[in-house]
Amino acid sequence: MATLTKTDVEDLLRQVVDPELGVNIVDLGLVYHIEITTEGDVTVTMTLTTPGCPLHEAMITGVEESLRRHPAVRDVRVQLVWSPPWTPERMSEAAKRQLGMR
Amino acid sequence: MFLNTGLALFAAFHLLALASGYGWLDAHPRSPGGWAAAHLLVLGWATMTAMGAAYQLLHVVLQTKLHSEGLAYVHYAVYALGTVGLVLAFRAFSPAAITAFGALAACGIALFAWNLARTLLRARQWNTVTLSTAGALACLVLAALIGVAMGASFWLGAGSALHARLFTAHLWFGAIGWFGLLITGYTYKLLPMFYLAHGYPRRLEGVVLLLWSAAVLALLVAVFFPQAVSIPRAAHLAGAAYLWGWVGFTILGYLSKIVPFLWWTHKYGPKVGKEPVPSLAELLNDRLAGRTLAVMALAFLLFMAALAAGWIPLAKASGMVLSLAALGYTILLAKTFTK
Repeated sequence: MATLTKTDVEDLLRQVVDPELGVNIVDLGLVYHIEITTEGDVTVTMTLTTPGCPLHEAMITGVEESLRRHPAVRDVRVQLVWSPPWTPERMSEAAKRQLGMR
Repeated sequence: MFLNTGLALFAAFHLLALASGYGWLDAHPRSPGGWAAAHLLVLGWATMTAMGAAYQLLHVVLQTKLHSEGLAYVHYAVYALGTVGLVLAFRAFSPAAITAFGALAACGIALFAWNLARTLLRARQWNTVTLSTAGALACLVLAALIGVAMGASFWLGAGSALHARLFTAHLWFGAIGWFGLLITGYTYKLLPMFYLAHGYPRRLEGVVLLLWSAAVLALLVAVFFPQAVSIPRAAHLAGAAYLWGWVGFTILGYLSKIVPFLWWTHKYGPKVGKEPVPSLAELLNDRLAGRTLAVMALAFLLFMAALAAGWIPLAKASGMVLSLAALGYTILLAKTFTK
């Protein structure tokens, strides 16, 4: 059976891109926590750039779909949280450069 | 539906303006042609668009479903029929038809207000955005009712003194109350969302809401003591600058974000994570949209300056440039739906 690491999950999540900013959700700092069980159940705790963001459903579906393609993933659960609130400081240096903030 | 109809009626306004060579500038603004043009733009485009955006954004702000989606479709049908009929009735100058279609449009507005009010009351989240929305809805309903009363008073031959009072109230509740409160309130949510503005000071939001509401209520002075208020020509120009310059350009600017976003959510939202999807920037040429808006803004400033100076030929020429650029902008937005 294929194994699954946190890096694998992060790499898959980098394929989910915020359509407004053109930056993936990992580099945007939207992913707060990743939990992987030995059975292959993945829980992603994440937020969005603004509470009630209209991209809510598309982003959650995107996370679920991208992770389910991995053979070691049995189930995916996305927990959307608003605390702590997201701020632009959570972005990676690469994302800040991409958005012209550096 | 609301946004597409709004865009179509926006294009219709500019096509009619171009076809007539801005001939309505030769007539008094309070003439059948002027009323038809004003209601086509204000009800057909601006209010139609604002209603569609309000349905979308209230759901985002409250994070709850609309009271009734089915009612929104009924509202659309009633309101669209009433508005188009009202514009045609103004052009035909038929007081009975103006009253009837005005009442139909007002029914559409009442359905909209009911649907949003039930949603707001169920969510019970009171902040500057929701309070502004509630105030804007109340003003829209009042403006509509007063508009119908104006049609009826004209039809039934009531005195001109009453008509003048109703006109002031109709204009004030519609322009300052409905558009003013809705745009200021929604901007508190839209701008930070579009431009990732976080941690900005918010203490003045409540003050602005209070001042704006006070300005709407100050209208009572003009309605009950019309002799205390005189409206100079400059005020007419300021009114046009407010409606076109602020309300109009704010809606146009927001549309460059809202239209691609709604289309992306509809077409590409379900495909995220399964296949590569385009970014919003690929759906609308942002740079071209900005340049087209800049041309419109320059043409508008020239139009206003020419009107102020009484140079009607220059006003007509700049108005035509404005309309051509507006049509170009409409095509640019509509092209989003082909991507």
